[in-house]
Order: sequence, then structure tokens, then C-alpha cells
Amino acid sequence: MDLKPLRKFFNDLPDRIGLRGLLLVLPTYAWFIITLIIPISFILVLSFAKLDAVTREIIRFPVIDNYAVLISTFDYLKILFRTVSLAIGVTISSVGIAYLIAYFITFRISKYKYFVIFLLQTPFFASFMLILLAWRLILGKTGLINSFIMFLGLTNTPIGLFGYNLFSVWLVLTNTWFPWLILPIFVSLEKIDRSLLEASQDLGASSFQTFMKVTFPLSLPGVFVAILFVLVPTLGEFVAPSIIGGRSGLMFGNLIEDFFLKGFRWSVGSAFTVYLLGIALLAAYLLYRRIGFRRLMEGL
Amino acid sequence: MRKSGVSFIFIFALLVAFAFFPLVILCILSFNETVMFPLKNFPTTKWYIQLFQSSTAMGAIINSFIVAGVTTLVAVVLGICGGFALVRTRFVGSRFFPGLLIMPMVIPYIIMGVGLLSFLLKVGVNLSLATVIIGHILVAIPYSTLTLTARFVGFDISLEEAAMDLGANKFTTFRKITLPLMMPGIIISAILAFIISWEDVSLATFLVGTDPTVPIYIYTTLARLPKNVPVLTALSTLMVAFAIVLAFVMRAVEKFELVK
Repeated sequence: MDLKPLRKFFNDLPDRIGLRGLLLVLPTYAWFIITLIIPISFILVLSFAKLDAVTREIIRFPVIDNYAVLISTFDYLKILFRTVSLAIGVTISSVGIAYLIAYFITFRISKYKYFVIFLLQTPFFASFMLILLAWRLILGKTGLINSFIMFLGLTNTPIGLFGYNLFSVWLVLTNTWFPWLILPIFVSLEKIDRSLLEASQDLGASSFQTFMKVTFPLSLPGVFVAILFVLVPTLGEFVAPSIIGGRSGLMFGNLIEDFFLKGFRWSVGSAFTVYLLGIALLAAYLLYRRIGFRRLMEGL
Repeated sequence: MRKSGVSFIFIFALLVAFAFFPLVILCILSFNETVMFPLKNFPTTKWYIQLFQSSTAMGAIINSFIVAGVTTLVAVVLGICGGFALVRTRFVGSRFFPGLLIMPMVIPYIIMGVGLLSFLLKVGVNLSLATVIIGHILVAIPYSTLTLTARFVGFDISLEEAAMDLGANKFTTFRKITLPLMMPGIIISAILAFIISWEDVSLATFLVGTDPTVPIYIYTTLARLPKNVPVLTALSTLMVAFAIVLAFVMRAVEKFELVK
């Protein structure tokens, strides 16, 4: 391949006015505008539109009806409330577990720290879908747990808790996410100056006090990165509930999916999407303000 | 102190087991006659044979490789450009770039999925593997750019200056010095981008046409063809093995980087 023209072009670009940098990020900018900004703007427009049932052309604009659907339907509100609670629940459990593991790796293991973290991330590499498939077979009325219990003769009827329900969704999402959250927490724990911990102990603090007053506050940036990583996707989750959620595990994402893929009620679906977007962006904004770009970069 | 140490190790071991438990179960079931508890006719390779004879499953694997391959290529090239621009140059709008970059990380996939779906259908694009690739590139760019930006930040610029002092021009320096030294970072970001595409279900659910990727194949089989579920366990076991290989490659590359 003849690189000469390319080489000449690259060398001749003036550095000072920043044209070179702009050219380098232009494709990324273009990609984001075309596949992110415009589609989301389109959703915004749709959410205020009344669509023709057959042609799906916009027949009235703007209308507020689509937004009223959520507020006026108790069942939908209940599902939204459940989704937010579940997302918070999953965040607490998975960040908590990840914290315990990160703490153990930082302070109790001296060698192969990164290797251990790496090993723990392998399940996530293998695909979220596999974890769902496994739990689908483990749980359920005729699943492994229930058939095992019945095999032992402990009960004659399957136990409801190990069926497909909201509890299963919580369990499975926690199982999926915590291995992925160890690294950001570990990074900020590892950075803590050990002499601070010694100073705290020398001044008479118990190890619990040292943890609460020194270690934990200093590790917060990593915790915030971890919360961001789990909270946002969980708010929009719809695959896990549809596989292991049963009826009680239905989430807000499932409503949106149905509006778009089954009911073809795009405008109502768009309004629901905007509600979800608002919640996710608010959460992300509050967290990102305390994290910053640099820490996010280190957490990967 | 000693006692609390032991219980801590116990909890740690339990949590690690929790992480691997589902995959171990899948692996065991893949060699079993049924997907239920009392093991029957164990071990059998029946499901692996069926897997390799299933043209839909094999097709899904090929599709996934195509989608993840193209996604990786584009995301890494754009990641190198973005990382370089962010660290080494100043450009108009550079203040907005990081903010824009993290957008796909702070927006749930379902929102990007329905957005792209309705937009693409509106402008008359038919759903196919190409539309899945378009979506995957969008979500992979932030990860590839962030990991590469971190590498550019840590790059010893005096090596480039030395090359230029010795008479190399900017382009040669980039090709002969910067790029080879960045290689570990590039490989890591490539693996990351590959995995993001390889394991995605949420975006693909909306953007996939008639050709499924592996996660979509698993998803639809679970929902519609319970009879074929044992084949999925065999497929899963192979995917876990593949993931472990990827993880070890990434680990080896990271080690190499530390030596440097």
C-alpha cells in the first residue's frame, strides 16, 4: 500500500489550530450524532406525537397523552416503583459483595492480586446470557433446586421462592454484576496510603473505626464508579426478568420492549423511554459529578 | 484476630463460588442426558454432537464472530484516534468530547435499542447483522477509547522525541514507535470491544433481523424451543472455554505491558 499521500497529509496538518485533533475525533463525533443523538431526539419527538394506528405516520403533534398513560395507570406506576427499588437493591448487594472481595484482595492477598480479579471477571466475559440460562435451569418449579429438594423427600410440592420471581431477578442480577465491580473498588482501595491506616491505629482507633473513618471514605470514588456501572443497566433491564422473572418480576424495561416489539405502540413506548432516560441520566449525573473522567478511565 | 481472618477467608471463598456456580452447573449439565437433577447417563457427548449438527447454532456462532469482529475493528481504530486526539492535541470541542464519550455508558441499552430501531426503520433501513454492528460500535467506542486514552496518558513521550531527533518525521514516528509500544493497550481494548459485542443481548434484541447472534439464539431457543435447551448447555460450555482463553490472553498482554 502506498502510504505517501496519507503521510504527506498527516505531516502537513497544522498543529496549532487543532485541526488534526478535530479530524481524528470527527468520525467518533459523527457516529455518536447519527446513532445516538438523532435516534434519541427521534424518540423525544415520538413521545409527543399521536401516531396513526395503521401507517404509523404522525397525525397530531404535540400531544401530552403518551406521558399521561404512566401517571394514570396504577399498574405501570407499581412496575416503575418496583424497577427502581430492585435496581437499588441489586446495586446495594452487588456493590457490597464486590467491596468485600476487593477489600480481601487488597489487604489479605499479597501476590497475584490482578490475577485473582481477572479470574473473577471470567464469568462476565462468557456472556450474561449464559448466567441467565444457568439460573433458568437451576430455579423454576422443575428446576435443579426444587427437583433436588423433592428428590431428598423434604417436600412434595415445589418451593415458590426457588421459582421464577422478583427474588430470582435480584439474585441473578447480583450474581451477574458483582464480579465486574471488583476492579474499580480495588483500584481506589489499593491507592490508599497505608501510613494513614497505621496512623489511625496508632492514635487508638479500633480496626472497625479505622475502616469507617479512613478506609471507607477514601475508597468512595471507586464505590461510585461501581454504582454507576451496575445501577444504569439494571434500571433498563428487561432480558433477565423475561427469562427468570415470572409474573412478579416484570420490570419497566419489559413494558418498553412490549410497546415497541409486540404492541407497536411506539409513541407510548417513547414516552416510557423518556421517563426511564430521565431517571437514568439523573442518577448518572449525580454519580459522575463525584467521579470525573479520569477515575472512570482507571476503573476499566 | 486469627479467628476473624479464617471467617473472612470463608466468606471470600463462598462469594467466589457464587460467581462461578452457574457456569459450573451449565458445564455439568452439558454432559448429562437431561437438564434435571438426578444425573442420567452421565457423561454423554450427545448434546455436543447435536450442537455441531445444528445449522442454526453454527450459523449463530459465525454471525457473532462477524458482528464482534467488525465492531472490534471499527471501535479500536476510532479509539486510537480519539485517545490520541484527547491526550496529544487540542481541538475545538475537546471539552465536550469526554462527556459525549461516556453517554453510552450512562444510558440503559434498551433506550439506545428502541431509539436506533425506530430511527433506522423510519429512514428505511432493514434490520440485519449490519444494524446490530451499528449499535455495537456505538456501545464499544467508549470502552475502547477510554482504555486507549489511559495508555496514551501513560506513554513516555521522550521516546517519540528521540525518534524525531534522529530524523524520523511525525508519521514514521507514529508508525514505528508509538503504535508498537501501544500494542498491548490496543490488544486489551480490542478484547474488551469484542466481548461487549459478543455478549450483548439487550441491543441485539431490537436490532437483529432474521440472522441471530449467539446470545439471541440462546434467548429465542429458551423462549420458544425448550426441547433444544440441552444443546444450549453444550454451546455455553464451549463459550465459557472461549472466554477463559480470552481472559488469559488479556492477562498475558497486561503482564507484558508491566514488564515494559
